[in-house]
Amino acid sequence: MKIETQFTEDHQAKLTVQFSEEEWTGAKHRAAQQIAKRIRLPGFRPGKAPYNVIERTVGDNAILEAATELMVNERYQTILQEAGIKPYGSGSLESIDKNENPTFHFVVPLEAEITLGDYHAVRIPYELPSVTEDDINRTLDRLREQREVVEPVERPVQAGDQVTVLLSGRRIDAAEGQDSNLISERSQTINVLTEGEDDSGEWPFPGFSSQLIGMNVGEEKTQTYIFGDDYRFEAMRNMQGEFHAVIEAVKTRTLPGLDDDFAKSLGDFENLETLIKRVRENLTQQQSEQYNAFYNNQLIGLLVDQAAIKFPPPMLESEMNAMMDEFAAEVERSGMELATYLKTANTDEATLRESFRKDAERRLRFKLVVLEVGRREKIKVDPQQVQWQASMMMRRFNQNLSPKDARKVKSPEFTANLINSITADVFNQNTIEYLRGIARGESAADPSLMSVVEPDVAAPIEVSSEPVVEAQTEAETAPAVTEAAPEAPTPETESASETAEPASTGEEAQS
Amino acid sequence: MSTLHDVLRRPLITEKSNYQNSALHQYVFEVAADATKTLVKDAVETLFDVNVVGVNVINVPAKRARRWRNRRVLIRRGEYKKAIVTLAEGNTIDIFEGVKG
Repeated sequence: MKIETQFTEDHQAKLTVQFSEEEWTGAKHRAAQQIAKRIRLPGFRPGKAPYNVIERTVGDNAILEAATELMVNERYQTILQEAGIKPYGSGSLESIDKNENPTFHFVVPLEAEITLGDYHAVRIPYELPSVTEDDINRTLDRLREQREVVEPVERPVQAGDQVTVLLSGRRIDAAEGQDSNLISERSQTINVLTEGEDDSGEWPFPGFSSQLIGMNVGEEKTQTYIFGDDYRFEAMRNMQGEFHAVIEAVKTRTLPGLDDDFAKSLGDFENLETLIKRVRENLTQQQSEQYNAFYNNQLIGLLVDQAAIKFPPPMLESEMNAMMDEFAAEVERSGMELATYLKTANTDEATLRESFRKDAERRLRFKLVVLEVGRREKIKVDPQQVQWQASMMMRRFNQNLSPKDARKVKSPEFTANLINSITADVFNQNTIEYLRGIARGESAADPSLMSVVEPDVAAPIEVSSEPVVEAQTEAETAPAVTEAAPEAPTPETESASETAEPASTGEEAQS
Repeated sequence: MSTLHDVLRRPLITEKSNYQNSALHQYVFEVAADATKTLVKDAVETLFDVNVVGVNVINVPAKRARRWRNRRVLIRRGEYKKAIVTLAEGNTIDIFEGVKG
């Protein structure tokens, strides 16, 4: 057996293998034997036909193919060993030079090679931003807005009112054949902004509602607007729109006072103080989570920049596949099927997959670096912690899934997978924790941070950084105007949150 | 009366003939029902250009069998004459090449 090894630039090995003549003839004969067992030849019992008879009946190529398969299966491991390479995944047989003694060309992706920089010297200051009164007030205001009391009045529109208008819009500058319809006529509820409020997020265009001030019920008005270069939806930039509005109703909005009653109305709060305390807690947690993610990202990003990482293309491909799966799951969670999403986003699977390439590469680099550090520092995983997390997970499955799905979940395979992936996660977390310890200038990681932050499912108030009310109206109205529907997750936003905690697959943790 | 050219019907290639072929230097043919040993010998010698040392002839009787799918139906596999030709040393017939000339 002769092996020639060539390393390509994309971290794969090209092997040229030629077997010795006896080996090859032996393989051909064994292959013929196997074929003889499969086929029935008149005059011969199965498996008893001689080589030349088989060669004449099934042909050269069939024997060659079978022999190749036989040899590759049998010898592949030996070939890899003799070539002295560490494969990442299964190699592929690129081509065969057919002659008396054929030569085989394999391409084998190599295990990723990571040369870490001096990660012990990395220092990044850890400055957890504190929650300011402003933040709390903003959240409280938002909560009040959610609880606002709306009452119809009979007077002209004033700033701060809620107005129901019959709204329609069309493009003035639509080219021939283009759809000039922007908003088909329908009733729409719009909050009239008070002076000084930020109107950049307003719909259908910034400054729309202020034009309605002073109008009475039944009055109508037509406004034209040219969308600027920096409008949030790219598709609508530089578009000229004409909007026709008829006032249908005017309502006042009364925000609930910031007092104990308001606190009680929100749920299980005794008085305003407990509410504020809770808001502060939630905000603090949220902010520290955000900052931690940001910090990790920064830290590992730095390590990635320092490290020299080589990986073969199939590794990236599998990462892209993983991202694709996650994305599909995400889309399905939002109640859409991937096929439908692709249709609305006017793209296809391949393009979408390709769009993940950059992020996937980033994620992969993150993952590899963390893995390498963990391997080098011999980061340990506490089995109890894994057990605990797994049981938590199982319990949640039991609660959330239908009995049928739950039964599926309880299969041994699934449990094994779950435990694997949790182990990998914990391993990653511990490694990141270790790195954070270094970067913050501490010798050992802070044990309190080692525990996993469980999202508080029972929290009655949702304190999210996104304005809840606005987000809803946006999701409802935007698709009519533009195709950039904000309700579906975009690859960018998703990957940004993903990279914060590079999740690893089970196999890697075991290796 | 058949001529030389239609004495040999076809070569018989089976496990047994394969053995006779390699170990005993014999070649097996199905031959015409009215063929004689001499006729077979002449035919093999002229057609394959070899020297024949001996010829054995057997009449293979018809076999009765049942139809594969419908076991009730009896079928009859016809009788034929088989000739086992022993060649002189150094002579071979590539049976699969068929008849020359």
